[in-house]
Parts: sequence; structure tokens; C-alpha cells
Amino acid sequence: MKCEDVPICILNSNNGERLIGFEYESIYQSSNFDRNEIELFLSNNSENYVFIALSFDLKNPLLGLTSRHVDQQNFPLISLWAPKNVVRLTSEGHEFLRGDRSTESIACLDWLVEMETNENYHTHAIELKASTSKENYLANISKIKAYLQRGDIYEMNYCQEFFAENVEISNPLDLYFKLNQFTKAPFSAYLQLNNHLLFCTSPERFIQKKGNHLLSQPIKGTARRGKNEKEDKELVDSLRNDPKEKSENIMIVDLVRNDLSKIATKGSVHVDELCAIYSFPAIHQMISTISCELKTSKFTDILEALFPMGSMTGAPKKRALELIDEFEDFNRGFYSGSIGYIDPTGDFDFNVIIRSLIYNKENKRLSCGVGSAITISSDAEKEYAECLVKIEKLRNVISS
Amino acid sequence: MSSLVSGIDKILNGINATHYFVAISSGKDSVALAHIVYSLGYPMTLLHVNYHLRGDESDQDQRWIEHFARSIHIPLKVFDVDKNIRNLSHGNLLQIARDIRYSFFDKEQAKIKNSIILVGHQQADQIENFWMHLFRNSGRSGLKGMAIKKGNIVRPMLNFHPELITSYLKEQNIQWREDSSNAKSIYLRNFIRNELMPFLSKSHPNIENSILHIQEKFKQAEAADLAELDAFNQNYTTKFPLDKLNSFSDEKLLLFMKQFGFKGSQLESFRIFLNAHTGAQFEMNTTHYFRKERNHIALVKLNTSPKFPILTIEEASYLPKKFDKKTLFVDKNKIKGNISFRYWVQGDRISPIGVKGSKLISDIFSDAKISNTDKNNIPIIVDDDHILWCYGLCIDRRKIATNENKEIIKITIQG
Repeated sequence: MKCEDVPICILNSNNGERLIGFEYESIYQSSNFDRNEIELFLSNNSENYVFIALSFDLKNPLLGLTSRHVDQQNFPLISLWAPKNVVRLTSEGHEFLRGDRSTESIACLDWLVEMETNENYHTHAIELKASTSKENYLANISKIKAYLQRGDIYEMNYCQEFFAENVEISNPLDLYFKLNQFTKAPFSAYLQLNNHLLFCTSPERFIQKKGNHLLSQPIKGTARRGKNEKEDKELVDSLRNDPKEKSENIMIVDLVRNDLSKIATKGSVHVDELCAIYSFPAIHQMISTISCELKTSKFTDILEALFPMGSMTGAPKKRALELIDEFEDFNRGFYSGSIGYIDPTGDFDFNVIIRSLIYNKENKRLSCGVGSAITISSDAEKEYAECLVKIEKLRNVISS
Repeated sequence: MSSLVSGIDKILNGINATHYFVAISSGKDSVALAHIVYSLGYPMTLLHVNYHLRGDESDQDQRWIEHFARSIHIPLKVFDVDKNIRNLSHGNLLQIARDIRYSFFDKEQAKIKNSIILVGHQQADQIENFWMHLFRNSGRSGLKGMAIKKGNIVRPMLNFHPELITSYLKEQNIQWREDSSNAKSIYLRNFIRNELMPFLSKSHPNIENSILHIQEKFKQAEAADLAELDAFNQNYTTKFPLDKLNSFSDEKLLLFMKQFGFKGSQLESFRIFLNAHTGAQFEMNTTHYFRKERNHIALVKLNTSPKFPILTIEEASYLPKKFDKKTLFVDKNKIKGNISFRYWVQGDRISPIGVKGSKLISDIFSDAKISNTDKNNIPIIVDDDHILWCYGLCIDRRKIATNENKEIIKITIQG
């Protein structure tokens, strides 16, 4: 067995704990949303950890929508797999949650930690190009604003794609750890599965379930880090008090409250934290936390009620999604999807795939989606600049 | 009553013990002391050690003392030393004999509350003591000679000339036995007694008094320093100002150091420490060390009193799921020789999981922010090949057990 070739998924909280699944015992991938198949797979593997990857286009079967563009990365809509080995790596040691310490598994772990600790990263000279020209982007925002004005929607997450073609990635894990080194995001992830690679440096959680308690933590509102402590503090203060950023965030909080109410016991939806500022090495973010007590434990019920996450759609969700398809120049594919896992007790944790590079070994295309929330008070130039801020680190790392 | 008897009576009266253990060797000094204490009517016990160093002669000594004790109706305790003392002697035979003797005395003395041990040192011994220390390059504390009372030992005859003792024995018609080894100059002490002093006395008849005089001066000077040090200790308990310590004479600094268990030979390195960079440490014992600060040295308690770790090595029938750095599972078939532990030495390397080649353990310590003091207390587990484990910090990948191994060794550490 060559570790480089086996399916590997790393879910990295960057607080010293990494959950690593490698190889798989069984896998289910589909371009549909078949509730029964999914629940069957989950119950067949209920004693194992199940890793799950969701593409944005799962919206189509869930909400009866279509997409104009084809997903060039060709990710399945949904992938569920039960890894042969699941290891929790901490600074204290390693724990086999699934599988045993064998010569093969320890060799893979050994290799993986070596990649993580070896800081002599490879250089890459990958330049990402915009698939949407700035003129088009700005023009689209004024068109979107017309819909906002008309009242179709009151917020829309409008994204564009940056991409590179004929890209060779000789050592993907090395690239992931290099990216992680500069971002240290709490919902960072790496996936190599079949022809697909995901390098995710996301700061955003989609949903977490612990027992009957479910929470969602949408992010809306971004500021860059300051060049010095003083400037950094000023940027945090202005983000905290920016009425536009706050209203964007609160609109999504309302949407998530609405989504959660579909699966929550009566009166249990609660906003635990509203518009809190969290700082990451690359960026400051405004994050809210909304939680509820679940009345259903079915994963598919929860997915149907909540996916795609409101922070990546806008509100109202369905109309925003229709307009997203109308205005965006690409199929988001895995971008603004989610990756996470369900543990043997049924608890789970899923992120939002943003600040990510997505790669397909077959067509050698590297894709990086980025977007921002457009409201009636949006300044098109500033939104464009915000997009660039969000992927600045990623672009810097892969171009050097 | 002779001046010897009344002088001893005065000293014993001043001590006011409940019981007197008199060390007796059958030589004239200890026999005289025992007889004087007996004649003054103090409650007493005789203590004798038979070293078996002089064959029959040693046994004859013992029988003689038994007879002496019976004749004056005084209880006697004899400690019979293993006959091989000469063979086990790594060092000075006299020193070993001395250690054996005093541990026996201490044990007996401890049985009676407020009792004391009397030994027969007299003035000639005191003078010999001076020469012995001089030859050993001792400082003031050695050259000052013995004290009449030190701890549970009292030397009532220390200031009396040996001639007084001899005449007492003759007056009382008391026998004693000459130690045949006394007559030979095989020991340094005997050389001083039998050759050096008689030689010096020929041209300098007053030499004994000169020595006693200088010893007295040394005693006084030390007493003065101790009094000052007492005052110093009243003011400073954990932080000792550098300007004061630097102004101390060598002798006074030594007295200061001795309070913390240092030896005279450490004086020079202690002086260097006093002028070292801030943060420098001077190791003291297992519980404390000195740390150099800007204007003082601080007495610092070690974070964890290092205990001798106990390595538990057992066979394990299966591997657990969870591996931490406090338990090691190794493949028995890969282990060469014995598994043992030691402490870190400069240049130690380990091959951790996920590192190509090896890494210096000193780097692992600094990554983990282990203090200089603590790093010497972290057990390093090794077999005959290489380091297996830096306890709690890092496991070497080369011999860890995997589930294919039939024979697994589990190693844990307590303490």
C-alpha cells in the first residue's frame, strides 16, 4: 500500500487535534439525493465513523432547482465513506478510533506527520485567473441590486471563480500543510479521494450535533488583519460597529433560525451569540451561533432542512439560489459544499467549504471560488476587494 | 581530687545528662575516662567496638574490657564488626572504623533520652588533629581543632595533657592495654605522635602551646563569623543580597554555604556563580537550588522533587487503541539487550514518528519549554541499541509495537 494513493481525509481544527480517516471499508457516492440509500449506508456503518462530502449542487434535488453550468471538477453530489482507519492525533499522542496500529497504518501516520512537520515546503508557481472579469462582476452586482430593490431577495451570496489550468500538484499533502501553515483555520480540511483533491482552509462551521443539540455558526462580515496591533484593533472595532456587516450577519441569522425551526423542538431555537468577532491569522470574521434541540435524528432530515447553508446562499434561500445560478459564471461544485463526519454515537460536525482549492487530477484544473454577501447597501468595488482579501493568502501560497 | 577529676566533674555537671555512654578501647585515655566517670558516680554504660583488625589482640582487648566492666559493676555493650572490614575498605581504614564506631554509638545513645556519648580525646589528640588538617590543606574550620562538645559527643579530657591521665591511672593503680598499632608509624596519626612532635619539641619545646593557641584563635574567629551569619540569617531567608555575600571572607562564605550542605571544595565555583549572568543556577540538593538574580541570589525550591522513577516492564497481550507519551509499547523481538532508563546527556538523539532521521532531545526539550532543572529529571528509556523513549515527550518510531507483533512489551513509569 502506498499512503500517497489511498483515500485520505484530514479534518483539522488547528487546536492541536486532527481527525484522520484513511482508506475505506465502504463508500457511497451519488449524483442524486436518495434518502433511503443514504440512511441505509449510515445504519450499515453506524458503528464506524462516516465521513461525508457534500457538493453545492445537492441544492438541486433538495430544493427542486437546476444549474446552468456543469461542475468542471466533477465532484459527486454526495459522498459517504467509512474509513478503514480513523485516528485522532493530538499533541499527547494518537488514538485509533477505528482500525489498529499496524505496520501499514503507522507508516501512513508517520508519512503524514512528516509532511506536517517538515516545513521545507515545495514551491508552486500557480497563478489563479478570474473567470469573471471585474467589469462583469461590477455589472452583475448592479443587476443583483435591481432584484434586491424589487424585493425578490434581501441578501445574496454572489461568488466568482478563480482558476488555473494544466496544474501539476506533485505532493498534495505538502501543499495542504503549507496552506494550513499560513491560515490555521479551525475548519481546515484535506481530502484526497479518487481523482479529487480538496485543500480547505475554512474558518466556518456549517453544523455540529452533540446529542440532541444542534448548532450552526454562519459567518458574515470580514476584515483584513492589521499591519500592527493598533491598526488590527481599529479594524476589529470598525468591523464590530459596521451596520452593513451586522445587517448581513443578522439576515443570515434569521434565515438559519427559520431553517432550524423545521427540525427543532418547539421553542428551542436560540441565538447563543450574535455578531461576535473572531480573529484568524489571515482575517477577522463576524460569527453568530444559533442552536436548537432536534426533534429528528435523521441525517437526511437535517440536511434537507439546512442545506445549502444560508451564509452561502442569501435570503430567501430558494430565490437567492435561482439568482445565484443566473448570475454566477461557474458551477460551485464542491465549493460552498461541506465536509465533515458522523461518529458512532450519531454526533457530527460539518464545515463550509470556502477559502478552498479544489482540484481534479483528470482535467488538471484548479479552482478557487470566492464570494460575498450582496445587500442593498453593498458597494460593488468594496465587495470585489473583499473577495480578493479572502483568497489573498491562498493565492500567495500557491504562487510561491 | 586531682585537677583532671575535678575538671571532668565540672564538665559533666554542666552537661547535666541523664546517662553517660563512655566509649572504651582499652587504651589508657578511654580507660581513665571510664574510671573517672565511674568514680564520680554518674549513671553510665561502656561501649566497645571490636574491629577484629589485630587478630587475637583484638579479642584480648575485648576480654580485658569485659573484665574491667565487671570489676566496677558497669554495663558494657560490645559491637562486633565483620572481620572483612579491611577488604571492603574503599577508602581510609581509620575513616571506615570511625564511621562504624559512631553509628554504633549513635544508635545506643538514641535509646536513652537526654543521654550523651563521652570519648577520650585529650590534648595530644587535639594537636594531632591540627597536623592532620594542615596536611589535608584544610581551612580555618578544620585547623580550629575539635570542640569539647559537638552534637551528642562530649570530649571531657580534650584540654588535659596526657601526662595528667597517665599519672591518674598510676595513682589509682589501674591497668590499661597498649595498642600494638600505636607503636608503629603506619598511620599518619602515629607518625605525628611518635616522630613529628618529639622532633619539633626538641628545638621548640613550646610547640604544643603554639598550636593550641592558634586553634583557639581560629575558634574565636569562627564563632565571631557564626554570630554575624546568625544576624544575616535573621534578615535574609530566601533572597540573599549579592553585595553582602561578595563582601564575605572565604571562611564566612564557606560557613554560609555549609548551611546548605555545600562542601569547602565548592567555594571557588560558588564565587564564580555569584558573579555569573542573571538566571544562572547553582545546584544544591534534590529539593533546592540557588538562582542568580540581578541583586541577590534566590533560594528556589525545585518544582517537582525528583523521585527515582520505577520502570514497569511487562508483556502485553494486545495493543490498545489509544497511544500517549506516557506508556510505551515496543516489539519484543526488536529489543536488544536490556531496557533501562537514564537521564539526558548532551548529544542524545531520538527518531520520532513523522521525522525523517533523528532529532536532538535537547531540541525536543526546548520545543516543549522544559526548564534546565527539569530536563535532568526526565527519564530516557533505552535498550542496548538506542533511545526508545523520552518519557512524556517523544516516542522513537523504530521499535514500537504494531498489531502484527506477537510479543509486545508494555513499559510504564511511576514516580
